[in-house]
Amino acid sequence: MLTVDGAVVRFGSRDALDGVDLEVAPGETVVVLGPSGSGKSTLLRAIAGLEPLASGQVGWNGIDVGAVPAHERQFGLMFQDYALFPHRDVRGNVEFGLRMAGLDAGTRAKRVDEVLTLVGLDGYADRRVATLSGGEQQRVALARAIAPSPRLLMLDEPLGALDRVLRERLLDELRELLATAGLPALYVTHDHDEAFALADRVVVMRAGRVVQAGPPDVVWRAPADEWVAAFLGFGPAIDAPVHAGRAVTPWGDVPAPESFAGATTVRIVLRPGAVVLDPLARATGIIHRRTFGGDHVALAVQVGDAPLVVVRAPTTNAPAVGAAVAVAVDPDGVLVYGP
Amino acid sequence: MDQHRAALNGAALNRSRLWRLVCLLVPLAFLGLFFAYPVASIIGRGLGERGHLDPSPVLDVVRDSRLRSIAWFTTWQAFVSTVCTFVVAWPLTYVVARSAIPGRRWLRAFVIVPFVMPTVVVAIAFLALLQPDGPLGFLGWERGVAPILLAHVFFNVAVVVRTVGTFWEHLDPRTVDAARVLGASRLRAFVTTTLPLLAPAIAAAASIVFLFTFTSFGVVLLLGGAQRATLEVEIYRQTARLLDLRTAAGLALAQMVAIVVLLAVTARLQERRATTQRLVTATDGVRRPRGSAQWVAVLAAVAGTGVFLGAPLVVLVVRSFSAGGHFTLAHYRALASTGDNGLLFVPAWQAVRNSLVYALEATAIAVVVGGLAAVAIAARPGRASRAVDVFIMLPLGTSAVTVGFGFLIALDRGPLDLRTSVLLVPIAHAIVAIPFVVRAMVPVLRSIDPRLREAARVLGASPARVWREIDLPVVLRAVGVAAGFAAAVSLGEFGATVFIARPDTLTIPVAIYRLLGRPGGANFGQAMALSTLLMAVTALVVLLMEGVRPSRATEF
Repeated sequence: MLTVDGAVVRFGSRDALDGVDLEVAPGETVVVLGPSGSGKSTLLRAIAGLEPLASGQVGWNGIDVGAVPAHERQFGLMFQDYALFPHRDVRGNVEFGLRMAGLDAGTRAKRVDEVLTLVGLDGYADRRVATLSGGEQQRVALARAIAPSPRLLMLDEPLGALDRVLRERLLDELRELLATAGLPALYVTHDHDEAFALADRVVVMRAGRVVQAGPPDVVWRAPADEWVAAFLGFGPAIDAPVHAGRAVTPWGDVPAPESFAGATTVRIVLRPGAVVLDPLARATGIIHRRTFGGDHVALAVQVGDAPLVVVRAPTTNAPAVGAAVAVAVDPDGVLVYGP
Repeated sequence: MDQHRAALNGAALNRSRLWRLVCLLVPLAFLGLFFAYPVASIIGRGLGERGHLDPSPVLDVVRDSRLRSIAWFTTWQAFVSTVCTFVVAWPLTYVVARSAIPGRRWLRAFVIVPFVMPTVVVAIAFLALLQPDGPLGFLGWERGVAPILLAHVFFNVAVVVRTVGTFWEHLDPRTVDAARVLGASRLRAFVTTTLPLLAPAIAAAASIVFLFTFTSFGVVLLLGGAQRATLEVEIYRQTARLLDLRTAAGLALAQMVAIVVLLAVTARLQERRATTQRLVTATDGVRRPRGSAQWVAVLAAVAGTGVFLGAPLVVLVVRSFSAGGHFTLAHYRALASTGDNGLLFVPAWQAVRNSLVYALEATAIAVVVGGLAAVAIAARPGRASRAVDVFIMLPLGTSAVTVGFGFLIALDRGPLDLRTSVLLVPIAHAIVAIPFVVRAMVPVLRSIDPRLREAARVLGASPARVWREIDLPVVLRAVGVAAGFAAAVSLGEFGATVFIARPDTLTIPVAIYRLLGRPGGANFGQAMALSTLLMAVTALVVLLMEGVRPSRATEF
């Protein structure tokens, strides 16, 4: 089990990691989610032993590994853009860790074939890495990382450079592979769809700190603060006055949670789909823009001088641009934060 | 336990710092002693005598009408050579950059052949071509300005083709497409789009060619005849014939100032010219010629340049094997003799042996000293390493004649009296070769992605193992390339060696020059045979070097 306690990494005067706590339980997949520059990669490098800690500690099964150099930690790391060895073929890359472990040639060859089969690259052993496609390189990098059977597998934006179709396919494969290998994994990404698809637990990072950690559904249902909500793609956010226990918004009233009963204003954030067309509602807006979305039409609706909200409508009989529509707000779609 | 480890880490850190210091100090000391000190001696001699400031030797370059005309000739022949080089090289540059014809890469490798040939060999080759009994003897261009210009163009075609052509090849062809779509004619698109984008490469190539021809020595000494001299040649004449070291020092100093000004101006121009642009992979921009007219033009460009670059060398080889129109090995057999009237004091074979030994020694020195410098420069990018880089490059801009002349006047007394040392010539060669070694190694060392080292570490490789698995394979190839450069430079080195070689430390180029010094068919035959040998050895070295050259990341 991996434990990180109060990890601090400094680049000059800047704190790239500013007191990060983290745990990865046996067999668990933890996804670190955050925008670029939030310190995700630095966290992986610090755990791997490639970046010295200014303070705090990294432990494995309760033992501090701070003094153990990177090459003795037995933590696998799959690099962003893979960092394959260009002067070695696929076999040479995959068996590198096995050679460092001092395994004999027969054992190495067997293990290389095994992991290449696992990642779906049978028969690629003698190919030069420069001749591989992006997806194939990604698989070689994965095979290289898991071949020496590391105690922990870390993956740094492993799908970052690939196109969407390939990403989705590899994401499914990766999930299956992590489940069958039973390997504890720490996965870094800036893409929340990727994070929710893979994670047993999501850790959201911002500016070198952990701002929220929890199961994907909890993080999705209750982002810790407005910043996390915005990073997950929620919005717009507005200030809403509170009258008689209800928050008043341009799109209709919602009940304020009891914890904010005494407040005069609250901050509310709308989830996608929180505002709906409702012929009986009192709030009316003008359709500003209309976007065909396949199985629905997305209408950007302006109510008064409030920010535009997107309302989904069925493709049949969707109102035209400029039309006035009545809208209501679904209380389940509203996140309420303190002022 | 932890403390013990920390102490170990501390020791390792100190050791690596010590190692870096050694990497820096060895080359700095070597260059300080064998480059900066001789150059300082020249400056001292040029600016005064016995402690009195008297810059008259430098001022004479402007005041004395003969020296003034030499300075003027040096400048205008360099300018004309540069223009002619561009005119001759341009068609092939276009073909190499933009035409998808079979063997395009091979063509680019071929143009480098003249560039790496020793100057003396090229001079002899043009003499073999232009002498009254040579194939182009009827032109009457044996000595004078014409053969100088021809030889300069011959040398520098490679500079334009490789510098401009490689850059052009990587220019995004869609910028021209965009100009065409916006209504520019083919010519207009070239002038308004391609040419400005190529400007940095053109400026770089032009400044290199100008510098090379401005400091041209062997070609002018051998082909210029008694009338024509560049500053370099005049420095040699003042030293070797007239024994006037003060005038020579003045000339050397004046030339150094001119070169510094030239380099400063071009660096300034290039800085202003540099535009950031998207470069594409080489194959994206090439197009197959369309229609017979285009094919004819492309083939004519290739054939014309091929004949120009090939003919002199072919004629040289053929004539070295013939006398009176018949095949003979007589010229080669004569190498066992000392030339007509004992011109060389030792058999020419001795010069071959010397050249090979010096090449090995100079290569060893240059690779060790230059390699250490390259490791230090590549390890820590920053202002200090850039300063070291510039200092190490200075010999490249200083001209071999200056190095040789500096050795002559500086290393002749006290503890540094190396006049009779067998290492004097190899050290001079190493000084000339070190910039090439550094330029060959630094980009290769820098090209190692630090993440590869990290990847190896997390896969269980100890620091020493990381060096062996990741750095060493790349470094070995870089050392191979650097050694090739150094050996080729040493084999062909003439400007410095001619000042310091003694009769028993003769090298092939100096022997060739001595043989040419006296008229006589037998001497010229020997000179051609020696040149052919030197050409073959140099070509072999360069071929070996191209064989180990890493595919990416070199600065030539």
